[in-house]
Formats: sequence, structure tokens, C-alpha cells
Amino acid sequence: MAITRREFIKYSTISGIGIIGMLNGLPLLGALKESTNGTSSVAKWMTTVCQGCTTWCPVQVKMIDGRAVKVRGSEYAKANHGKCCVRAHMGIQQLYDPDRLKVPMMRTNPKKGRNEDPGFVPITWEKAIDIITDKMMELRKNEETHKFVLFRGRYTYMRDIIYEVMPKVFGSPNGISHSAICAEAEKFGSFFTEGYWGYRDYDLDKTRYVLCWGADPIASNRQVPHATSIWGKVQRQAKIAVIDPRLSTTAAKANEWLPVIPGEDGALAVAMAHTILVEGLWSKLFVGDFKEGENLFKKGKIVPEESFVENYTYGLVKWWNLELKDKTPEWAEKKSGIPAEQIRRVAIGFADAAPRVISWVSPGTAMQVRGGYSALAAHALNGLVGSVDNVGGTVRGSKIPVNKVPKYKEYYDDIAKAGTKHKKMDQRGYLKFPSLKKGKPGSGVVTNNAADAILNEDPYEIKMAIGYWNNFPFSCSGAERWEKALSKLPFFAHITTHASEMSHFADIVLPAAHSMFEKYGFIKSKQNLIAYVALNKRIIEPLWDVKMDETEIPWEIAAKLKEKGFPNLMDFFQAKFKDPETGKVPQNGLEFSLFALKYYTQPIWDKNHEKYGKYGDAPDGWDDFYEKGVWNSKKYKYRQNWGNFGTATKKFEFYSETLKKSLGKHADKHGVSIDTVLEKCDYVARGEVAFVPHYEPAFRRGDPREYPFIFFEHRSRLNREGRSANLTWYQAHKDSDPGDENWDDVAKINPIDAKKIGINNGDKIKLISPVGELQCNAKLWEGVRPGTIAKCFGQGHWAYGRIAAKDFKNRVPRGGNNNVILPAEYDRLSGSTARHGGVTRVKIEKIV
Amino acid sequence: MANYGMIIDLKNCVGCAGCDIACKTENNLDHDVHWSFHITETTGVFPNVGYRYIPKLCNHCENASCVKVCPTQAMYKDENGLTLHDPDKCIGCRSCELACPYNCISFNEDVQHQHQWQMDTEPLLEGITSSGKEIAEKFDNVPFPNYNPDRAKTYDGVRRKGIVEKCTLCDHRILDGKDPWCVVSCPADARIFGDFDDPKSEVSILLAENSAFQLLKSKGTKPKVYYINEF
Amino acid sequence: MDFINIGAWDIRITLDLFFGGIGVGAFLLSVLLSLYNRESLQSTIKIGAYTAPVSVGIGLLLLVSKIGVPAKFITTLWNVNLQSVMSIGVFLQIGFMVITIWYAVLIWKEFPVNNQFRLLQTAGTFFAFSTGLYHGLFLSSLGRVLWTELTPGMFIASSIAAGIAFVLLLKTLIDLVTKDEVRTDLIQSTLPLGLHRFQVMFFIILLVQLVSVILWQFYTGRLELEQALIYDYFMKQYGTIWTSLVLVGGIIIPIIITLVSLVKHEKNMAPIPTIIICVLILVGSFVMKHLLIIGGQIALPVGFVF
Repeated sequence: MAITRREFIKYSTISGIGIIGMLNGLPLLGALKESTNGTSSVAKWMTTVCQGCTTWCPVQVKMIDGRAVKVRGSEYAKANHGKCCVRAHMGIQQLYDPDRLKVPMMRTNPKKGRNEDPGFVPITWEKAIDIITDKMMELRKNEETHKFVLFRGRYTYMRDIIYEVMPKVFGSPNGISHSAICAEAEKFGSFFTEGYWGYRDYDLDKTRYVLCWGADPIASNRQVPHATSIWGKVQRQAKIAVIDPRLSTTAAKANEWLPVIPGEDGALAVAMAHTILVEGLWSKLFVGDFKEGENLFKKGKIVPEESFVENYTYGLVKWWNLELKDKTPEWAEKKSGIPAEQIRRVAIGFADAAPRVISWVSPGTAMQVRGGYSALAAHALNGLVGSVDNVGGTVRGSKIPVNKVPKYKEYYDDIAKAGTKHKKMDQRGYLKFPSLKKGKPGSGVVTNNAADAILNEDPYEIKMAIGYWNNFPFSCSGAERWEKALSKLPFFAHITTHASEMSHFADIVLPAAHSMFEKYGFIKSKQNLIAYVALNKRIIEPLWDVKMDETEIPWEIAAKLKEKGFPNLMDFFQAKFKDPETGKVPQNGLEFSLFALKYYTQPIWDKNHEKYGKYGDAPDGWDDFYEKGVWNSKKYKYRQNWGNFGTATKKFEFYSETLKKSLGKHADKHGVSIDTVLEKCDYVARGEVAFVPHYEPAFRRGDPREYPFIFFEHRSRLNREGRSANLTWYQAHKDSDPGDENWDDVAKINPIDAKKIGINNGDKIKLISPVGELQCNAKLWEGVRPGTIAKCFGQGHWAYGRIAAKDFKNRVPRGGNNNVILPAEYDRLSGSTARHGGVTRVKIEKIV
Repeated sequence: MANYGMIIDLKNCVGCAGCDIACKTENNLDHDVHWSFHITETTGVFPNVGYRYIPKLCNHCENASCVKVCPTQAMYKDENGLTLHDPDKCIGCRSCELACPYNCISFNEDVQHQHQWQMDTEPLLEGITSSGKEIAEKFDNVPFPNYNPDRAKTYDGVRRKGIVEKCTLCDHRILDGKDPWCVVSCPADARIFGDFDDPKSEVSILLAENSAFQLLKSKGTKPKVYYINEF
Repeated sequence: MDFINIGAWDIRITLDLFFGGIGVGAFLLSVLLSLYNRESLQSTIKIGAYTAPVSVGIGLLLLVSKIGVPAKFITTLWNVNLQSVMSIGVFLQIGFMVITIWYAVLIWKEFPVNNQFRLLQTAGTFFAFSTGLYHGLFLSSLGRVLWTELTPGMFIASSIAAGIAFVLLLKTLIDLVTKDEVRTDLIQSTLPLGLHRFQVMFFIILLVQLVSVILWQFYTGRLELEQALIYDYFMKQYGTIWTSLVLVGGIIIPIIITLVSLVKHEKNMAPIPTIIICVLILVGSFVMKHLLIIGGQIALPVGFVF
């Protein structure tokens, strides 16, 4: 009798522990092999999560005889309602990529560097974990556990175990996430206006105007499947304006394309605010009105603060007087390169359609040096027209009831207590890194600066690191610093699916289970006004000896540490992650993974839990939840934060008392003035204007005389983050990114510029910035502004497999990695890496 | 008896290539064989630039030139108006490939997937990473891991060497009353499949209500993939 | 704009059409000469008769080798598609092949003069013309922009010229080697228009070719946008070779030489100009067919023209 894997899992989970043996042992594989003989193949759609981008969609995979065959959006998910984007399909190629690691490997060449062959040899898990824990025990012996770092990359919410508990119970404060190379500056915009440190959701279904700030929702970041599915409707019912120096697909389909000079987005935002005020188009309901009724917002004129009464907002007149009064569209035209007439038209169109409008802030506008203020200004438009938290506007996520990580401090020993007291290693909170996450100085990660911290041994030397699902020498700007930093690092263990650029500097590399097919985990996300929890599952028997990064590997480490005399971590795991249904103590990594998953999601599926069914779906116990793989919240309620925004004033702040307080705290901590902080952090604002959304000129590296072109990058709709270049499907469909070419990595150059410098289509060229150079091919394309060069992120891997690298053995990349020419610059107030906004200039050389 | 075809709503289409890749998973296509593909076009001069993306697949023409030129009746129209291909009859003369004005027919110099899965034996890192062959050998009775056996119901599961192949509009799914996989997979609902002979079908209604265009209508092939609206 | 070359067919298709064409021309020559003076022209008639099946056979073999599944070529005999020029062409080619073999055998054995032989010649002539026309019709039936209604004319003229040139070249070379008197003509004009004379044959057939090539060039470049673009691209890529080897070398120079010979009322053409003329015609025919095969597969990025 052919028994399906699905039935196996179900049967096993009901019986509690059976699953572990089944998944671990060969019998299952044998059973599957049998069932593939003959015609009786067994097909079943199984639910899991695609983590190809930050949307994190519940998807279903068609499993036939244990093989993943095809993918669709999950029918159970209300957020992406059965849709998935192109990335999810590509997951299959990633799963079966022959260049994945089969087994752990160990470096044999002690010298580290890009041009050193690491001399990797296969080793057993036993030996790999033994070596890692030896290093950890050595740190404990020398009471320097704080010199241990855990670098997090793509994660699920099982992350607490490896990223928070493991380092801390071991004795290090250093869980360092990738967040600051993602989109933290975006959150800065919503936090210091409406007190919300998080990504917004967008009510596309009811909107009448979408103003995209670098956003390309039908291709990337974020909620791609929902946006894609509804964009036809949006185009029919709403106007769309896209601010993007590149003609993205969204821009191509929009009513208005505003090809801003990179980094000058803020000028557009304040000019639009100026226009809305001068035209009297602000929301009288949300913002308030002049006492006398007459609009006193007149170009260049100071307005008496007392003349205006605000409702749900704070500091409108201050904003006008400090910043907006002179910021006319004509002024902005000179800064941004966008005609005043168009700025005015868009601003008025946007305000006329309000409140059902969206000012959609994306990393393109935010992740710039000084980009926090651009995000602030662009998001403030939502406040100005009353679309924030409103019908057809920008909203937050509904509540998601999941458990927090169990209390673990009681498992600290003296070494851990001492170790965790050290500052985190990334220099957050330094004068130059206010990193005001949720308004708290020094609380946000400064991911990219960790390289300099290692190199300079400031605040202290780092002796050991473990990284998982990250690839900083590829994904961080100023990539070369990471190569140096990792070369200097005495011991590095990397958990990854592929031998990557980061692995190249590792001492031990551990093969990671794939997040979509091979791993237990859960994610929280939102689209379509639905917040959701979805389960990453091991839906296939892995082909190789891989382990789950966030649970199995910490388990193995904890077990080994216990063997070596440090039992605390294992004690914590076994005490706190018992099976919530049976109370069974986990005995191995897989049980631990599953029990932890059940623990975290217990409020969702456990009928006896006080939060069960309160905020959304009420699945019929664990098995039902596991089967469906997704929990949907209730639909978001509009205006729930009006009058109670999380700011210092509880209002939507145009003059941010919240920011003033945060900056003040940071300045006080260092005994300097706020102006000094701003100066050290590369902002030009001084005085009061620093507390309102305002224009900051674009920051660029490189002398225009030597480097004539502004370089900017963008995302690919095919990027599974930086990981899909090794897939043939990626290369063969690359032209679905407008202007790009299949099987190529091109720099898009306006034909006018190309003619000037004698470059033809397809020419091999070098892009040279003050910090590095890369090689790629030239593409003459009208979709970029003269004077700027656009290039997609994702290619230029020199160590990510046979297709991603042109010559893996000799470390020759296919195309060029933008992060080699992008300098490590920051939006320091948010700690974000400033990869956008034309942060560097480049010159072009033709390779003959 | 039906007259199947498709309507593609370009306004809904976001140009994501999802159909192309989904098609590859359904029909076991090698990465460089495109039953479903696209045309992209950038027009104008900065800043007045237009870009459009037009999904392209076999048009299942009523007056199919590939059927006309085929010397062996390997290309044929079935009773439901699909343009299908019989691999047993095909001799691989490639006339159809040249006759198709849409460049929608491809030829297999080799058995598909051979290069990626059977002929690739070299791992990048010996003993650490794998090869296509090693992976393929882990699965019995299938030529590559994500092989979809459904395809083999009406066509070669993986097309053999020396013959052409093309989109069948997922005739194997139509048999089961399902839409073609590109239609199901389109996240923008840009593709609508149906029977043009049925006046009540969605495609017939859409065709009646919209001004539609076909690719290369002038060729007289009477394509049955219609496009409505602007990208 | 990035042009595509579909690249379905390579030189083997050219060679099929080239050798097939020689076969057509050689057979027709053989029949024509046999109408005149079979005694004195026997060796030329024989060369033509033997060349035809060999040449057509080589062409056919190359064609079979080019298709994806050569072993299945035979199935074209029963999987017939009457709409397909190729399907019909298979019968024409095979029919022609059979007749040429039969004809060659008869000539080799006894060279009979009877009704059966005449019938064979008549049928063979029909099949020769059909095959010659088929080559071009086959291409034009595929509807590619460079393969127009003029292609059959270009091809059949080129084939007949090449067939005659091939036989004449062989005959001249054999005569030179065997030190026989080189004879390329006969004294009396007993066929209308002096059609048995090579100068006349070449002149007429090359004139037909010239007209069809010029018409092709004229019209192809001036029709719809798609054709015009592809034609321009074709000429940009291959224009120099086309003009020098096909038009000037393969047609115009041979016409001039034959014309000069005719004007001078030469009865015989000297061996050297004969060889030159034949080689030029053969090269021209091959290059024309090859460029059209390769160039005909050029396509615009699909969808450029709606």
C-alpha cells in the first residue's frame, strides 16, 4: 500500500512523536520510492510559506511522490487569496539546485581572503558542531563570550531561539540582524509621524490615488501578489503616480511617471505638501482648519500658529513656517528635475482624491543618506490629506496572537550575566549612529557597520561569529569591507543553502534547510488588510543532510555545549519547549523544532487559550491549523489609531515632538547639542527644522568632474532576495525587469549619455566609483534619466554556484555586484544602509 | 466540440513572467524552451517613455500555418480548435517553426533536460555539492526532480530528441475540465480561457465588449489569442 | 533592434536544393539534347543522365540527414498532407528520382528509341520542372518575408542554369583530360531558337533568373515594414556577397560572355570561357540558395509588427 507523506505527517503529529523518526530515518524515503514505481503516483497540495521576498506569502506546493512539482498561492490565505508571484515558482529550482550544500564543510586553508582557496572538505555534523562548540567553550573559558556574534539573515519568527536566546544564554549581547540593510528608514517615516515602527498595509481595494515613492508594488516590496492581483482594478478606479528614477513596470503602467533625480525625493514631498496647503486641499476633518476659515498658507508667508486649530495632528503651522512656506513646485523642479507643473498636478490630484489615497513610501525613497527625512515627508502627506489609518489609505496590521519567547534570563550564569552587559558590537548608539529604532537611541541595528566594528575592534574584538541565511559580502554596500572583516575574524561558521561569498570566509559551513520546503517555522505578515500567520513546513524529505537553521542547529549546539559542561541552553530548550499538547520534552532537534512551533502558535490553535479565535480564524486544533498552514486575522478596522497615535502627543506629528525627544536623548547621552548630532550624522538641517519633515539635499560620493554619472540601483521582480541568480529561470526571464536582458547583467544608460561617451548597446563596460569597480554590459535605454546609470541588484555573484558565477572555481562573477561600487553610507538616524538615492557617482570605461 | 482560445487583458497584466515560469513547471520545459513567453517594448524618448509587455503563447490559429506546412500531419487541429502536435508523426523537418509567424515553436536538438540533469556530472565542490545527474538519480522513473507526470497524459512528458514542440494550451488539463496552468497561475487574472463558440463564455462576452487585437493579424492566421486593453 | 535568426535550417538544406537543382538542370539538358542529335551529343546526354539521379540522390540524403528523425522520413509517404508543399514535394522528388534512375539505366544499357523511352522523357521532364518549381514553392509556402512568390522563379532558373553548367563543366573537363576535341556546340541550328546551343540556353535561362532576382530585390525591399526591415538587414549582412557573387558573378558576367559569344556567332565556346562561365554559374547558384536559406530565417523580434 502506498502511504502518502501527508498521511505520514498527519498520523505522526497526532501520535505526537512519530514524525521525528519518520522524517529522520530512511524508511520514509524507501516508502516513497516504492510508491513512485508504477502508475499510482500520489499527488497532494501542501501548504508552506514562500520567503522569496519580504511579503512572505502562504503558498501551496504540489507534491507528487514526495517531489515538489509546482506552486500556487494558498487557497486558505485571505491576504494573498490564492495568488503567488513569480518568485514562488522559482523556489522549486532553488530547492533542487545541484549547487546546494549536501553536507557540512570545513576550511583547510587557514588563510582567508577572496583570492585564497578555502580548501573546503566535507565533514560530519558531529564534527562541525564539535568544532563550533569548542570555540564557544574557549570563549567561555576566557570569559569573553561577548566576543561572539550571531548574524541573522532571512528569518522566520523562530528566530528568537538562535538569534536571541542562544547568544544571550551563552553570554553575548550580539544578535545582529540584517534589518538595517532592508528597509528600516521606511519605518522611521511612519514612526516619527504616527508612532508606528512597522511596514504599513495599503487599502488598494478602495483607493483612488496611489503615489508611489520608489515603490514598485507589482514587482517588489511588498505584498506583491495582492498588489499584482488588484492592480488592474486600481488602474481602473484610481490614478497612479510613480516617483522613481527608473521606468519600473509600475511607472510604465502609471498615469504619471516622475523620474526624480536620485536622492531628491524629499524636494518633491515638501513641494507637494506646500501645494496641498496653498491650494487649501488638506483634510479639514483630520488636520483641522483656520479659525477664521481663510487659508493663510500663502507662498513665503509666515502663519501665526494660533490661527489654526488642529484635530488629529500636531504642528502643521510649525511645519509650514519652518519648512514648507518657500518649498514651491518651482523650487522643487530645480532640485528634483521634475517639472513644477507635474508636481503641482500630482499633488492636487492626490489631495483631490483624498482621503482614499496612498502615499506609499518604499526603500527607494527611504534607504538613502538622509532618507529618513524623505520618508518622513512622504509619509506626512498621508497625514495632511487624512488618508492615514483610513479607508483607501495606509493602515497598520491587525493584531496577531502568538506567544513570545519564553523567559530565559534565569538561565544566565555569571559569565552570561557579565557577557550580556556589554554593548552590542555594531556601534549602535555611538554619536554617529543614533539608530533611533522606535524612538529609542541606540536600539536599532546598524548591520553594515558591523564590518567596520570588526575591523577596528571597536567597541571590542570579535573572535567568533555564526551567520545564517545571510551573505553580507554580497548584500551590503561597501562589500569589500566585509571581505576584509570576515578575513580578520578568527572563527566564522556560516549556515547557508549554498556556498556563497560569505561562506568563502568561513571556517565551518553548515547546510541549511530551505525555508519553503524543508524547515519548520512561522511568519507574521500582512496584505489586503489581513494580518496572518503562516507555517513554513518540512514538506519534503530533504535530499541532503541539511538542518533547520533557527531550531535544529541551536539544538545541536546546545546538546554539544551540555556535553562539554555548559548545559544551560539545553536546559532552557527542554524546559520551555515541551509539546504543548502532550507535555513531552523534546529529545532531538526535529522534535524541538516542531514543539517550538506549536508553542509559539498555541494562542492560534489551542481552544483553551484565552486568545483563541479572538482576533481571527479559529482553527480546529493543531492538526487543522497545521493542515491549512495559515491563520487570517479579522479585517483591519479603519481609524482605530486616530486620536491615539503612538507619538509623544498622541497626534499625527508634523512637528515631531517624538523625534525631538529621541534626538535630545541621544545628544544628552553624548553631551552634545542636537545640531552636533545632525552634523556628525551627515544631515544639513540645524535647529528646529530637524523636527519637521524637510528637504535634505542628496548626498553623493565622488567628484562630478571625475565621476560624471549618478549611479542608482533597483530590485528585480525575479530576485528571491540576492539568491536567485543561480537559477536558469531567473537568467532566462531577466528581461521581465524593464530594460534588462536575458542571461545578462546590464547597466542601463540613457542613449544621450552613451553617445557622448561612445558606448554602444552590448558593449562590455566597467562602472567605477570611488570605492570599487564592476564589469557588466551596457544597455542603451530611454527609461533612465540622462546623467544617471541604473542597474539591477542581484547579479555579480562570484561564489554562488555555477550559473550565478561565470567561473566558480576562479571566482569570476557573472555581471557585477552593485554593492562593490556602492559605498557604505547610512541614514544614521535610522541606522539604515543607504543603498539608494544615488549615493555614489560613477564613471564608465569601455572594456576593449 | 469547442473552439478554445484565450483573452489576455493587458491592463491586468503586470509583466511578471509568472506565466512563463509556471508553464515550465506544468509542462516540464527546459529553461530555454518557452511555450509561454513575452514581448517587451520600450518606446519614446526620456521622459516621455512607454514600456509594454505582451505575453505571447501559441495562438492556436484557426488558419494555422504550422498545420498547413507540416508534411506529416504531425501538427494538427483537434476537434476543440486546439493546434496540437503529435510527436509520433513529427519528423523534425522544422518547417512549422519557420512557418509560425509568432516564433512559438521550438525544436529539441536533444532530449529536454538532458544537459541539466543527465549530462551534468561535475559537482562544484567534490563531496560537498551535487550535480544534476546525482539529483536526478535520486528519483525513480522521473527524468528530473520536479517532473510533472500530468503532462504525459496527452503528450510526451519530456519531449524527445529531434522533434519540435509547442504550447498545447494545457490540453491535458482541459480534458479534466481545468484551465491551462498559465491561466490559473497568473497572479493578475490577466488570462481568460474559454470557448469562443459558446456565446455565453467569458471569452466570448469579453471579445464582444472590448476592442481586441491579435498578433500579426495581417498574416491571415486567425489567431485565437486576443488582447484587450492597454498594458 | 535585435533581429532573430530562427536558425532552423543550415547548409544541408542549401545543399539539398543545390544538388537537387543540378539534377533538374542536368536531366532537362539530357532530354533536350537527345531530341537533337543523340549520336554526336551522346557523351553530353549521358553525363546529364547520370548526373541527375546522383545529384538528386545526394540532395535527398542531405535533406534526410537534416531532419530531426531521419529514420522517420519514410513516413512522409503515408502521413500525407495535401496542404503541405513539402508533403507533395516528397513525392515529386522521389518520383523524379525514380525516373532519373530508370532513365540513366536505359541510357546506359541501350539508349533505346521507342515510345516507352519518349514517355519516360516526357514524364521526367514534367517531374524535373515540378521538382525545380517545388524547391522555391516549398520556401514561399512557409510565408517568410524573403521567401516570396518570386522565389520559385529564381530557384528553378538557377537550378536549370546550374545543372547545365555542371554537365557542361564536366564534359569540358573530361574532354580536356582525354584530349578529345572540346565541343560545346553543334553546327546546325535545327532546334527552334538554337536552343541546343549552350550560349542560347544560358542566355535565356540567365535572363529569366536576372529578371526574377531583380524583381525580387525590387519588391521585397518595398513592401510592408516588416519585409523592408528584414530585407535591409539581409542586405546589410549579405549585400556585398549577394551583389558580387549572385548578381554580377553568377548572372551578369555569364550573360555578357554568352552574349559576346552569340554576337560573334561563335559556334563553339572556347574551353576557358566555358569553364569560367560554368563555375561562376554554379557558385552563383549555390550562394544565392544559401543566402536565401540563411537570410530567409531572419525574423524581427516577434510582436514588433502588429
